Amino acid sequence: MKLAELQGLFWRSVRFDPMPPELEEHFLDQGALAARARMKLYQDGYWFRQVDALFECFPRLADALGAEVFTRTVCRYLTEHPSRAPMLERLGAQLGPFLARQQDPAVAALAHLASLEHARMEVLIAPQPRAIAAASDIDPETFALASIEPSPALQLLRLRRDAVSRWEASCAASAPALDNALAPVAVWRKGHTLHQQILDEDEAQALDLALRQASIAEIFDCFAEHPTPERRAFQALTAWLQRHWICSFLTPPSP
Amino acid sequence: MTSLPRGLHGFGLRTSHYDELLGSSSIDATCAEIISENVVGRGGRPLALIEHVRSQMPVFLHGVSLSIGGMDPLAVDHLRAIRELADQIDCPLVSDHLCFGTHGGHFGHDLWPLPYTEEALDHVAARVRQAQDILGRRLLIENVSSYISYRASTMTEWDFLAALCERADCLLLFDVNNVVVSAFNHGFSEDDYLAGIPAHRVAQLHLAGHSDQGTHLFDDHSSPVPERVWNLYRKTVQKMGDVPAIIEWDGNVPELERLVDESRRARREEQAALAEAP
Ligand SMILES: [Fe+2]
Repeated sequence: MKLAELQGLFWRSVRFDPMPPELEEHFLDQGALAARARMKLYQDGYWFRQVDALFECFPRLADALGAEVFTRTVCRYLTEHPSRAPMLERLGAQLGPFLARQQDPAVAALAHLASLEHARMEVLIAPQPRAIAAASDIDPETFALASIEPSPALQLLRLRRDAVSRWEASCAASAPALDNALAPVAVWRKGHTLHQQILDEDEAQALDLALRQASIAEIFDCFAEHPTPERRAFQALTAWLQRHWICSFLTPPSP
Repeated sequence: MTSLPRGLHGFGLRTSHYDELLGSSSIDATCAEIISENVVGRGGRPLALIEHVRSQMPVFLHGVSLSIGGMDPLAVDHLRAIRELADQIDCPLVSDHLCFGTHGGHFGHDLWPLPYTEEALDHVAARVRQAQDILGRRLLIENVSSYISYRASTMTEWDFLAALCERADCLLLFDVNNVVVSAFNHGFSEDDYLAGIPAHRVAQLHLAGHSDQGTHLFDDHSSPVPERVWNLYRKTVQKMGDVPAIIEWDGNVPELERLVDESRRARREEQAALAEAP
């Protein structure tokens, strides 16, 4: 058997039960342990390591489901979504959408909790912002046409309100009341600390535009309905700077 | 080639110690190691930690996902990111394992053993050379602990490693604990293994604990370095000299001071072994 075929056999033995029947043709029985028992050590390790990593990345989800249901659920998830990234923290990238497709409504209702926990993990390990902008970086001449370079450690999500309240509740607290209304949630890292906050709808729309490279003028339009739009826009921009959401103001090239 | 570091002792940086390490201006060790995947491309605490520790001692980058023996293309972007970080922190030693851990675009997050054949040797040597070209430095290849052997193997693991060093002009990270574990699991002699390793290629050592499961030794890095591993460490030092040694501790991670203490013992064992050397 060539190297590629041997590795394929190893992979199938680790991933699937029962192991392939030709295992013994290619692996040695040694001492007290037969080849199949030896391969079982790798099979157990494969599942244990990844389930353990998911427990670590999704502690609130694991609490909500209970250890047994969580383990069963993520084993099904890993069967459907074998890891595609070298970092174990990326393992749960599809767990939220996977839960949303589950028939059990109690499990499906936790999809957004999973998405929130995954976003928190991604923000925690996101690259360092290239710079942190300050109000003094604003050029009044070009400001309205400038766009924003956002921090890589910032995400905007739309999540069920009960997912956010469930995350915020302590482990011992009883489950919060069901509330499937969607709320915009910002998750960001400032220094070494993670933050999350439900945003007002106008600020969420403004941030959404900012993340899509809109100009400051377009971003500020989101506050037009506010009784004091200029003041509201100023407050939002000040908060964004203070939260380290902005790396720089990108001035458009002169025509 | 820049000269390799010598006479250093330290430990692997683990997340549970990050805060304590960040608050400490005098870590009692002379080198440290961090898992590349835990820091490459990341900001926040991991980056702050590596910069903080680097201001006190050399930090080695140790990879777990390169899959140097795998059939999927090498992760070129990941290697470039490792190079960037290694240059940034002036990292003297960059390592990964002699194993495969990927298949068909999927990651197993494990260190699976290879068959020791001419075909595998050609394959691994070509990939080590490719990795070294991207990294802009020689790669240290670590022997893994293993639980299963291929019928196809035509050479010992130590002969494979020695031949790999020649063909790829790479270096070795000699994991003393992994030799003890694999020697028990496959019934070979630790002394034969040590004798077969080209000393001048070994640029770093690992020390760790394992557990005795009766039928096999399990490489769990969850306990102090056992006496049997210290014994082989002393012989290793007598053959290879004062190669930098790192304590690995991944499960039931103790207080930082306990880990530092284990690396102090490595320094004492090294000094005693060198004093006794014929
Ligand atoms: Fe090791």
